[in-house]
Amino acid sequence: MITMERKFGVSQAAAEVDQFLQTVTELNSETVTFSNHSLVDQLIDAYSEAQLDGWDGDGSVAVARETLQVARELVDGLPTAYRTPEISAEPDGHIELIWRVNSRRILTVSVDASGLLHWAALIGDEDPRGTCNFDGQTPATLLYWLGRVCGG
Amino acid sequence: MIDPDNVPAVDLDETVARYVLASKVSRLVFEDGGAKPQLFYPYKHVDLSVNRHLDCTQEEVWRFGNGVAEHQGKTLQGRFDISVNDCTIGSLKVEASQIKDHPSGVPDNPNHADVIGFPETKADQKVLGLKLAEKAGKRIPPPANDGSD
Repeated sequence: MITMERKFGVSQAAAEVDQFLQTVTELNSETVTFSNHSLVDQLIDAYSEAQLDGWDGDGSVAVARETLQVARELVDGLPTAYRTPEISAEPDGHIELIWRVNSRRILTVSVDASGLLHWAALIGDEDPRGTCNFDGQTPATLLYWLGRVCGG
Repeated sequence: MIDPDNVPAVDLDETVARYVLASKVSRLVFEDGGAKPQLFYPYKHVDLSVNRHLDCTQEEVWRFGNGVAEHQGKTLQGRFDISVNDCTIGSLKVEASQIKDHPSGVPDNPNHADVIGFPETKADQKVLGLKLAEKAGKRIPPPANDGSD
């Protein structure tokens, strides 16, 4: 459990830090109902690393709170067998989730703040990819390819 | 290193390095040493910086990486080597892109090159990132640093 003292300030930076701490607090409070604590830790790590613009050099974009929320809902809605992604922030402000058996059985999904999921996979010689909207339920297309990557 | 006054075109037989610049190596490298596809996504521009091995000693290869890391305020966590031929996937190709007198102070580098020709959509870029990461093999850690988190 992450605990931090909250300090209030009037600057934008202080407001951003305060919002971050609030988000971490909320995520921590939700781990009771969240089935995989390590995924919450990964989401917190990704969000905390990329909470400010410029976090990965010039032009890199902070991960928005909305992006974090979409990623959390996506992960939380996955079938238990598929709750094994590696999660990290991307310089364009997306959160990336990767399921990997090996380098030729791998699926990556980038979540953006608008709820779009940009995904691609390599499965043998197949290289499917696409973009779909997340409406609170895991898109059937993603479930299919997750099954192809993570299934036996 | 390459003669700055005579930078040749990139040949398919060459090898280029993609540096791993991150506070934590695990953001860009899998536990088994394989590259995460994100390392090979172009961002901001639709090209990807790499460093040619041509005419370079190992010491020079690392020196170029350290120069970029220092300029960007990041930690050099290693590099992945990949052949130019393996970078030539679909619309991608590698072009020499010497850095000289860069306005923002990026160190001069006659061995710098760009992988160009990435498509515009994120999903299409991700597929190419997956394929480049597969070809890149395992991370080569920097000397005197195992790069662990």
